[in-house]
Amino acid sequence: MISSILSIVLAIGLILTLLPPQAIADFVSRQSVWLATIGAALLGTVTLVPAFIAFPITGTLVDAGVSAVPAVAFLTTLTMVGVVTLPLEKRAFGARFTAARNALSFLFAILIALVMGVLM
Amino acid sequence: MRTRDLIRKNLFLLLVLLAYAVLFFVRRDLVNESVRNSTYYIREMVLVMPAVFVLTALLDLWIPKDRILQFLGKDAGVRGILLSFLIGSLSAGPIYAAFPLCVMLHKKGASIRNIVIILSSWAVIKLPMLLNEAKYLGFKFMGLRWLLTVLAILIFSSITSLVIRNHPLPENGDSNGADGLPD
Repeated sequence: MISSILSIVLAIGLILTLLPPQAIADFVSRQSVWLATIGAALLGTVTLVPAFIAFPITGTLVDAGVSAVPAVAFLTTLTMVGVVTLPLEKRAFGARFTAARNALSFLFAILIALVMGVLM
Repeated sequence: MRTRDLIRKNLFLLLVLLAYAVLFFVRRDLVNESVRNSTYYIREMVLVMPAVFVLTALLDLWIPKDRILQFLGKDAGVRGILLSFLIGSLSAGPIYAAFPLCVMLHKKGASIRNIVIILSSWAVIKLPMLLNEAKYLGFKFMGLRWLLTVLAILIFSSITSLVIRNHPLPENGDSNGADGLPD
């Protein structure tokens, strides 16, 4: 358990360095809404940024006139789906549970984002 | 044979360390930055994990099985759902801190649906996080996202429960996943 968590923590540091949140935001803001939404959801899946960094960045995105849809997709997958924690979750709950929970969270994150886009 | 087992068990850690090693020769500055980025999470881990282990052990000791079955089990109904959202929302720390607690609760009778609700709301629904979100993205944005997230968790926790129905979770909840927990 400790070795798993240590590897997760070290992986997060590496990912934050190679894919800095601000670079992600810049990239997402230059794409079409659809591509941006899928891309933002995927990026949210592989990164695990603390919320207190994610919210201000998303705030600047939305303020800059980027649609709320990719922003919401990013925020939701960021916290709910985690590639780095997959091995640990799989060991605790089994492959089937882990696959179901993460896949469904990902799908619903995009759904939430689309509904937010309509309602905001 | 034993070294092979050891390697297989720690494959992820080895891959991460390998990435660090490669980076060390190519771009040493990036290694420093990565370690700096990790420090925040190491602090979080050191602060939160012992508390979660102690709490899990105490709950395991204090709350009898039939109680957990009654309040979080398959037949706990709306009350079980509300309690699961409450546990997830009031918690602190990263989602992996929820794993040992949820393994323990499930062993003592909590339903798959309620476990998914606890895990998911543990990650997404936190009061200080919501306040932070409202500050940067507005109250309407935060409220709407919160409402939709709760709805989504309600729906996909039921789906997960259906998907798992005939496939019970690993019996030992993995000894590794629950390491440090008394049985």
